[in-house]
Order: sequence, then structure tokens, then C-alpha cells
Amino acid sequence: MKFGMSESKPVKSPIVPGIKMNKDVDGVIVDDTYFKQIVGSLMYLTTTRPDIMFSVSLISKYMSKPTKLHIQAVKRILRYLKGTSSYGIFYKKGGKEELLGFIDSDYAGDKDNSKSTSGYVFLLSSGAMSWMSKKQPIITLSSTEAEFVAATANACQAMWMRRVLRNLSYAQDGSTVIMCDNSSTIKHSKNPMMHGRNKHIRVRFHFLRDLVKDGEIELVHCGTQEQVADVMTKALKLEAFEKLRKKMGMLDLTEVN
Amino acid sequence: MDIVRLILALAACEGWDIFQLDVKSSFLPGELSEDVYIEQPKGYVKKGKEHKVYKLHKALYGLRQAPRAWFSCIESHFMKDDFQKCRSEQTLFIKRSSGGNILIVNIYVDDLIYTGNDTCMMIKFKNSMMQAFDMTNLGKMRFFLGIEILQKSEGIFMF
Repeated sequence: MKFGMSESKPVKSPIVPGIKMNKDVDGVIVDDTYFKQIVGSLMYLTTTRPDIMFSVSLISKYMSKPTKLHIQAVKRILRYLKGTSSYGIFYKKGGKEELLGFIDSDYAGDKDNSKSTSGYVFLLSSGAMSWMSKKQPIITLSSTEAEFVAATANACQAMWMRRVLRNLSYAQDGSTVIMCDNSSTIKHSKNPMMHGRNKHIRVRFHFLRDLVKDGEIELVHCGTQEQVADVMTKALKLEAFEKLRKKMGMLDLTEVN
Repeated sequence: MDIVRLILALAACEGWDIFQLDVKSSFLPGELSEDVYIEQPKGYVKKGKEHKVYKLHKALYGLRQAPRAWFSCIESHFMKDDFQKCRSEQTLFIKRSSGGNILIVNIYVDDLIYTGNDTCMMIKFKNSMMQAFDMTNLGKMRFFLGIEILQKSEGIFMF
């Protein structure tokens, strides 16, 4: 590793559990070129490493004025990678041909502007195939709304993958199941009920409901324990993190050989 | 990258092998759709005609039009070869033959991966590509865009 971290001690998770980041306006400013170089490299790594997606997207919000607090978080990711450098995703032969989606959101997780975070993971052939962790573009007023925004982003991706798979003669038989741990969002996706509280996300609401009605996607409830997308929106405790990482089909190279 | 992972997952699921070809000088064979002129480069200056410029017949590296010219070139080759272009993913080409056999090709600038359920189709495709373009046969997909891939009998590992 070129960032002078080769002597560091490895850690087991990429982020301190439960940590909330902020702009840290009074913090000691560090060299932003060094910071940006690391973040850039880490971003490229997220194409094969869904496990660091959340932590990388979290710190990439502070590219303009990084402080000691932020560089510490970055170094923690590097230390995590040091211990898990041979981890990857294993797509199993004879694994499930059906897409399975997971969505989650972290309501008002950003302390600087109260925006929420969307996250999703899609599994195919027992491995994570597509994932995202992103600060939402709009401010929402409840966790249900935040979940709705996440569900819409996820539905767009699901539609694209269904189309590509159909083109490859792997048309998905039924609707694509998307696991969601917010029962209120699921109810809204089925029931044409509209009230004042969600007026400003009307378009997303209709978009999602149409897809559900057309049998393209289906939102299904799942417990927090099974929610793989949690890894995209929260700084999890080690035990939960390792469990979900396994669910995404992530293994060490030695387990494959 | 989503499409690459999608192909990996699908091939793993079916137990297909993925192969890889690399184009040696991808931007050179492309035909230009507009007139482009260049100044006479050092060492290629014609005595007595120093004020003249060259008109390009084909694309050059560094040219704004080069990537587009290259993609059109390889795209038209696929079309001639009875491939279908996937409508929702521009870089994905699919060829079907009678009996439900399928060949899937994905192109990423000058890196090309292909997989399918018919070895015969894959060999024919490889030979035709090697003939039409200046290609290196990299065999089974192993390194692609900085990603390492292991193809095992039980599945595909990506890291």
C-alpha cells in the first residue's frame, strides 16, 4: 500500500460502530491532496468490496476540508483492508437465478444538513451483484419517506437489471422481491392511500406503486437481523457486520481454494 | 461495472467459462465520420510543402473522435456477425443460434469478455475477432480492469 500504512495494525471492521460524522469545522485541517488520493483509491475498490461502500461514501462527503477526524476514519478503512485484503465475492454455481433486493435508509443521518442515506444491495447467484450507499438528494420528513426515496432508487436499478436479464433470456419469472424493514413503506406501496404527510414525494410514490401494480417488483417485510442493506447505511457492530458480509457472498481467498 | 458483475454472477450460476480478448491498438482501425486535419508532425514534414496539413483517413490516439470511431467500428462488426445489441446496455451484445445456444459479449473500451453455453460458438467468435482486429487472446478471464477473477468448478470468485 502506497499510503504509508503497511506497518499498521489490522482491524476487523471498516468503521467505529455507531459513529456519526460531521463537518468538524473546528478540527485541525489536514493535507487534502493526500486525503483525496486515498478516498479516490478506496472508491475504485468499492467495485469489488461492498463491505466498505458505506464507510467510503461517508468520508467522501468531507473531501473539501478534511480534518484529523476524517483522516482517522480513512485510516481505519485502510487498516480494515489490511486485514481483509484477500476478501472478495463468490458467485456460486447453481446459485439462485432470481434477483433479490434489499433496501434500507438511515433517516437524517447526516448531522450537517439532516439528509438521509439510501442503501441497497442486490443478490444474484448467492453473491452481491449491485450495491449503493448514497446521501439522498432531498430532505425527507420521516423515516418512511426516507425509506421511500431509497426504495425508488432501488426500483430503478431493479428495472434495469430485469431488462438486461430478459435480453439475456433470463427473464425473471415473478416480480423481483425487495426486502424492506419498514412496514409502513410496504403498506404505502400496495395501498393507494395518500395524505398530506407524503405529498412532496408524490412522484416517487406513484412510480413505485405503478411498478408494484405491474408485478415488476414487490416489497416484502424482513427483520432487521436479515436486512443485508444495513451494511450500506449504518456503522454496524462487528458481529452484525460480519454476518451481513457473509450474506453478500464475501469470503476470504483461502476459503475458496 | 454492474454489467460485468451481472455477467460474472450469471456465468457462475450456469457454470460457464468466461474468456477475454484484448485489442492491441483499439483506436487505430476506427473510420472517421468527419474530416480531421493535423499539422505535419516532427519527422514527417515534406520539404517545400511546410505550410500544408495532413488529412486523416483513420483515427489516431488522443483524437476526440477516436473512442467513438472505435466503438462504431467494433459495433458494426458485431452487427454483421448477427449479434443483437442489448437495448438497455449499450456495451452488451448477444448472439443466439438455433437450439437455444447463446453467446454473450461485453466490451469495455478495448477489453472484451465473452461467455456462453456453446464452446463451438465461442471458438468461432474468437477466431473471427482475431482475424478482423489485432487482438491478443488472453484465454480465461483472470484480470479485468484491475479486478482479479478466479474461475473454479464451484463458482466464480472476484476480488
